Amino acid sequence: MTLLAMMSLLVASVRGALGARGAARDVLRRASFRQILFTGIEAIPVVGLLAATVGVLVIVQSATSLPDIGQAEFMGRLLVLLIGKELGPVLVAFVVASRSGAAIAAELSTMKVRGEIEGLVGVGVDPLAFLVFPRVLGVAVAVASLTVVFNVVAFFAGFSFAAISRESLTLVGLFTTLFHALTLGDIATFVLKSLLYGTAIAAICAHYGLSAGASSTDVPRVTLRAVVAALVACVVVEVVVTALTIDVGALIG
Amino acid sequence: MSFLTVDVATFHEPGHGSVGPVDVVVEPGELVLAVGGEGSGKTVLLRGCLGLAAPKSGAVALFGTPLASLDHDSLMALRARCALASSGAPLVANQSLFDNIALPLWMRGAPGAALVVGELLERLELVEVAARRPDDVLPRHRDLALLARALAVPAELYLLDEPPITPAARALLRARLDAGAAALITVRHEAHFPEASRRVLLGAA
Repeated sequence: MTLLAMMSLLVASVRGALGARGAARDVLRRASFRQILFTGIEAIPVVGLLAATVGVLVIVQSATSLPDIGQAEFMGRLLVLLIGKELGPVLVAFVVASRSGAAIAAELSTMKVRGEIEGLVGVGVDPLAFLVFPRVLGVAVAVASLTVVFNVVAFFAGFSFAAISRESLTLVGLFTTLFHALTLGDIATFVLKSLLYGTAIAAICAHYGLSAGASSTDVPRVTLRAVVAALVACVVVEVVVTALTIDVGALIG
Repeated sequence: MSFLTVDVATFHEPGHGSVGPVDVVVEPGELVLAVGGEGSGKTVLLRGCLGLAAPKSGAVALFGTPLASLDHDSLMALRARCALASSGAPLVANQSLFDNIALPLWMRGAPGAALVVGELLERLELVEVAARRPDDVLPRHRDLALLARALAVPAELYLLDEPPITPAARALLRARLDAGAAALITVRHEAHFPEASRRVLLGAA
């Protein structure tokens, strides 16, 4: 039921935004940029820190352990799959769901409780186009951009640490291994995942935010529910996209 | 065709009160008063006229179209022909008074919104506080901004809940009515709008 309501909210907001013309487009554009600034730009420090930590842990372990067991040639492919396609998008999505998803749900539910949204409806403003669409667009773009940031920081930090800690490894050599292992399919998968994560997080949190009643106690309640639902949605997207894109033949051998 | 028909309708909303059964018809160019004291259901009546409160009994029609069973898009299309302002209601907290007043015009894609809003701000003496956010101004300024936001919209039907009655506000409303719009205004004392063509007395359901 929630999924149906969320999809209906998403469709209605996109339809409302597509009908915008003239100054309305400028309003939606400004609101989308504000969302990108908050969700994307302002989250770079926390995502960068997380990426550096994950990059160092995963890459150092791989770079030091795989050669010992004679599998050094698989390191590039393993890192692309592990960090680029899986950990990067999903960890960024978790950060965005916890940070921006909570903010969206709290802001919209507060507006609902205060009666601001009904005030807008009273003068003919469609709240789905004005409030939901820019958030969905902004979060989707921000998640995709943050995933690029995550991957760049993770690989650079991890490779740098590995090159410093082991003389036989060089930064150039590690990046060459990585680029040889990277395919267009990998890039397409991570872009698709990021956009799906962003859309799902924003739509779910907006849905819960707008479902608040008239009491101020609804704000923390719907915010909590929204974040949990967004995190669950991220896991579902991860499982579904991985299942659809996984190379079963390669797995079997 | 009547702009608004409230047909023996009763409304009840927790937090907004009760009203009815009430009969109201507003024709083009008309100013109709709904008169009632504290708790007589003035606010819930206007909310019901826009479909924000569903009638417990009776029916509401806007521009000849019954509101019951309309889908979201159809309801929004009818609401876009109306403008509601309730004194004491909140404006969007994170936007300036200017942006609050201009927003409905911008979202309609109307050209020249800044000029329209600038003129309204000047006539309602809000220029000095136009750049401030709603929480940084006096309640009187917020009520005038709510009225300005409604009057900025080129609506066919204005629903005004105890609007601030200043000479400038009265003149602006008169100009809208002369242009063919209609208004349903709730007041506590009918003496405030002697020019009203009809009056409806409200009492709690």
